[in-house]
Amino acid sequence: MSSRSTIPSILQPSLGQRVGRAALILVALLFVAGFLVLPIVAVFTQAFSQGWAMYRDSIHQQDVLSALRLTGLVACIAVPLNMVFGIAASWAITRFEFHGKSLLITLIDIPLAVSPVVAGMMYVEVFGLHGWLGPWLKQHNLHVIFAVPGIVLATVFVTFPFVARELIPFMQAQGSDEEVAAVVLGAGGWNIFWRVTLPNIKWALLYGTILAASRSIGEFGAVSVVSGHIRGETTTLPLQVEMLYNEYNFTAAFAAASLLTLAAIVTLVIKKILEVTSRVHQHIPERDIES
Amino acid sequence: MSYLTVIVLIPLVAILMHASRGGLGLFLHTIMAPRVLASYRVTLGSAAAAALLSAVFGMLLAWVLARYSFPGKRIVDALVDLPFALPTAVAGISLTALYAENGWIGRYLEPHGIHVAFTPLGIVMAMSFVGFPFVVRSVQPVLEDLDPAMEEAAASLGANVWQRFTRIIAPVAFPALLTGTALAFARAAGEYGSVIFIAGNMPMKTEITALLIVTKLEEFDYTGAAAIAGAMLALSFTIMLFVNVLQWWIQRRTGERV
Amino acid sequence: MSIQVEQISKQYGSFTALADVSLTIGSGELVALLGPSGSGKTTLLRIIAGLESPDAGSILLHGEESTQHSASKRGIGFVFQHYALFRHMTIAENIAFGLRVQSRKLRPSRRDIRERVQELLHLVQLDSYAQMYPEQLSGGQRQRVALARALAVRPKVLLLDEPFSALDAKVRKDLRDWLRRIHDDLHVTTVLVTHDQEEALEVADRVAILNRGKLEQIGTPQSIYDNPASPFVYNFLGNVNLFHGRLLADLSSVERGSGANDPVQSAIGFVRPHELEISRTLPLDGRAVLAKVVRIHAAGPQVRVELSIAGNGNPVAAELGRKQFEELALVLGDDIFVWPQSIRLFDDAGAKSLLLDQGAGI
Repeated sequence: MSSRSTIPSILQPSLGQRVGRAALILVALLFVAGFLVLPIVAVFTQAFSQGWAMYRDSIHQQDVLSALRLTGLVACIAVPLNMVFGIAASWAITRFEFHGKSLLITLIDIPLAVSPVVAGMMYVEVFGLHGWLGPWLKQHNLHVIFAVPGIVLATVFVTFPFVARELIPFMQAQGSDEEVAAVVLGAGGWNIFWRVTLPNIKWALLYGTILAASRSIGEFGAVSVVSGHIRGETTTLPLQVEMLYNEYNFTAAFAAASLLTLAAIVTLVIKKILEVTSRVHQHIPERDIES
Repeated sequence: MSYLTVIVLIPLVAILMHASRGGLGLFLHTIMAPRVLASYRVTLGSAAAAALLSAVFGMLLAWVLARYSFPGKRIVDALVDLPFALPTAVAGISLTALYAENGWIGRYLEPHGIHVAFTPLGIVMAMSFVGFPFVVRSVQPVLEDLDPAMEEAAASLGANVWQRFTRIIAPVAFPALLTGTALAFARAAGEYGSVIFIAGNMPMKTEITALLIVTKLEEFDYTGAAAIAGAMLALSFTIMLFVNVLQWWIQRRTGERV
Repeated sequence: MSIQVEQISKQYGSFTALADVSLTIGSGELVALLGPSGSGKTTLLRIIAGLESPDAGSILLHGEESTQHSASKRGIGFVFQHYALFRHMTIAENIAFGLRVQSRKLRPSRRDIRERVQELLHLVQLDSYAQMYPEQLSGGQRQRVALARALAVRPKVLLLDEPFSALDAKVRKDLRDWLRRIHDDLHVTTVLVTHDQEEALEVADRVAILNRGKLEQIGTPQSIYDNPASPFVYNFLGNVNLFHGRLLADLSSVERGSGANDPVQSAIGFVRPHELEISRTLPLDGRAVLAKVVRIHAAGPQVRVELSIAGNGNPVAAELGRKQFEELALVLGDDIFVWPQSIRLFDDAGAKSLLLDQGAGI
């Protein structure tokens, strides 16, 4: 989250500077409009290009609906898991010293650096038919790859850094003073966590969770490798979009995409709101103009 | 810790082990095959170009957001995260629609001979889309945390606008720019969903490495796929190492000098 | 170089930082702008520097209209409260900065710059610190570097914005004296903003007191201490005991007001703690009040005795020299007589001021 804004009020900008400033802002806005806004608009235009009825029908297709369900299911499992993990990891990293601490930090960053396809491959390696656990799984008739559990796993992998990465700098900056005070006052571990730590981190936690949620809904590469693209069973919404597109069923593809875009926009709005309200709650001071 | 081990470490090791199963010779042979080499060229070349593009526009946006106020600023600030929040497949089909021959942007470029869709240029565009937020989010906080008093001090000592920029602001912002660009590069090199629609995916010409892995998987060439995946992992780790070293260096500077 | 501030006004939204302030600072003078937070002193300093621009009024530097000039062109040196040293540069590079950014024509050679930096390092007594970074220095050292940096380009005016307030008391005092000495050597016109009245009174040739954007008084330290123009100034410059009109009437029943001072008209009398006389016996003219000793602070060069006036319990504080205190042998609970050597009267609006002396036949 961005911190306070300090726009220096140096000097009366000359005319040249003011023009320069306006030009920069204009270029930036043009860039944003052309690069970011246009794609969003394009999605919706394409989705509705054949009218509202067509749109509604596309959405109500069985495949799309089950893709929607699956996407939702995966998100509902992956996000809470990662939330818990994120809190635990940040707590451990910012409040304790232990061997392997830097290893832990590095491990957390891995999913961000690795291509999603490689990530998916990793799970195929372990749980796939020819993988390590493959034969064992087959014996017990457990399906991971090309089945829902595989998708959940892949999604968990890709999204688990988000909560931790939001929390760590936040908790570091906050310091452990309040928790120490609670210890001195006689509170036990669970109490400290529930009453002192949690309320303090709630904004950062929400923020990280929103990011993780939007990523788990939208993950494509990793899930694509792991899922086997079995229509109706192991297709998440993004995969469904791909399928429809490859079948030249553009309108339907964009219709499904529009749902995802909506989710993305909602995510951005919530993020912004969280940012603004958390700033209010933390009383981040504006630049002093007194004396 | 154990959670992590299961989710991350084991699968990681699995790939590496599989990749090395055929022996070093086979591994090298696989990752150096002409088609694979071509995909490196396409992927890394495009990623580099995309990283540069991201650096330029990312820097611009970070600057404008950190130092100016204008109507709609909050919306712009939120939009910077769009590539992060939008599913890559959606970005992929949307960008393709825009840059195709009859697309909103494509129709203006085609007559001038600028082909974007289904060419490496398209790959660069898609990669830039997903990469530039990294630059913005790396540089923006650094610019925002810059002490205005330092700029005022420089002004009082006689520095003009340009000198203030090059001597005071740039030295501080540059390391952040470098970090952001490295992250953008890493993301671009591994990107799959947003690229495969606009790329055209012609082997030797517009096929990215990530797609090659998927193709091999579909052909049941697991060893081949693992080998290439191993190569990509090596790249990822190198970039991670670079970024970590960079951060450590910045930290040292900040600790000692700032 | 002289500085003329003419009718400067500045508003931030609905907050008035400065309201029609005018003053003149002579060439080579060291003037302190003194006042509480929000008084506008830093705003005024920044307007003089060119870091802010006024809504109305003008600044003349050496007689020249400078209000529109940017800060980089005014030939000023500015020292910030939190040093504002360039963290990514060494101490030497910091000091050399002003010289390096000069235009090609005016810029001194590399060797000259190096020599000048050495000269300044020597002036601020940080000779061996040239290659270090600001992070490695203490607060007091950093401020000295900031001063050296500002002086490097030989500014015609030196402006300091609460330069010592971020430092420990001892360091503050040392730097204060040292600033005065440097000023005496270099004779640069200097303006110092501070909220510490002791600092202002000790260091400056003249002190300007600001309150809520208005200039209350300007004069030599002596003159404003002895002849404060308003209750605000009086209060700001030191401890004070207040005697309200009615109480004065009480005293006056013993002291009796003069014709010009009608005891019925309400007024407030200001007395400094050290202007109060204490004795176990009633003075010859009988004009004193009974009070009880409530607290004694005996640590320090003076002894501070808190009293409670008999009858209405008004708290009063008196200051005595140690010798006098020991002679009186005061203890808690003692009943003693107290009366003012001199008392300054302001009417309720804080305007009229009248000084009544012991011997002036009240």
